[in-house]
Amino acid sequence: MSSRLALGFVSAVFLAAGAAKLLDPEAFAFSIEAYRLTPWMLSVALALYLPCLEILAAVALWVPRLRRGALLLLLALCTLFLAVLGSALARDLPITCGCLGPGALPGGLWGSIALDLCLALTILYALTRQPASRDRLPQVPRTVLFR
Amino acid sequence: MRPPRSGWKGAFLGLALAALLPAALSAWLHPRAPLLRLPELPEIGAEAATRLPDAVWVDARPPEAFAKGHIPQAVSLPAGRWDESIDPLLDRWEPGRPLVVYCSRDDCDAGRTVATRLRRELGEENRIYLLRGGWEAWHHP
Repeated sequence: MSSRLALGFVSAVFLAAGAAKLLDPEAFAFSIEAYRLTPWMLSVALALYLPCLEILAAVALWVPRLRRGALLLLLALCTLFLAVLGSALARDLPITCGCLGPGALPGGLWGSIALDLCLALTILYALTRQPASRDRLPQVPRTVLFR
Repeated sequence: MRPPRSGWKGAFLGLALAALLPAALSAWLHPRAPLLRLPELPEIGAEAATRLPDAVWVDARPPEAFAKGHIPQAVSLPAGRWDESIDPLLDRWEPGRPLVVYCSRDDCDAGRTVATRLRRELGEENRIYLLRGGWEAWHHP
């Protein structure tokens, strides 16, 4: 039950974030550009790609076959966002996150970092509640089990 | 024969690749798709800018730099705080009034970013200028 709650939280946040950014990719491209880490062309590519990835991964959380991969993908995204937010803080850039589309999160960059950390921890928790990949389980013949 | 199974790596890569298709469609069809290249913006010298009738000055530098000193009547609009800062500018500006955007120097990207975004959002193709030399040229001519 708590695992489903964790999945629901992660899925809802990434769906909302992806949808908000997908509505206005141009505004998101400008948000990425404000971090001064990427050339304009790469900011444009990321502004178009990241929202689609967030939405797809959030939906894939509800497909058992895809869940583990989607969780790891979202964890990778959270790590990337944390690194980028940390670099903005280190350089004292006067920016808002842009994480949830237009508008600032309460608490500025620190608020965004707190949300990202919360998401990353929830994803880690959900990962520990997932069964390990079935590929790795030893295949025991039925004849052995029921001998 | 065992059916082929894909582990987390397959799902991870599959999702990462699958997102490329809607992203490409978005680039092609989305009405708010970003421009692949930033347009060339007209530059204007400080003296010519002061002669523009009813010009609104837009300061794209960080708020701390704006607080230390700015062109009289300029509105602060840092690139990274667009949503918080655009309303004071819209209160001051009316369609048809020229906008002169400036940053610290010519090599400051924020001025170009803000001017481009203003051009896209306000639809004023020919009345948005970049101040040549930025704040430094104004402050130490």
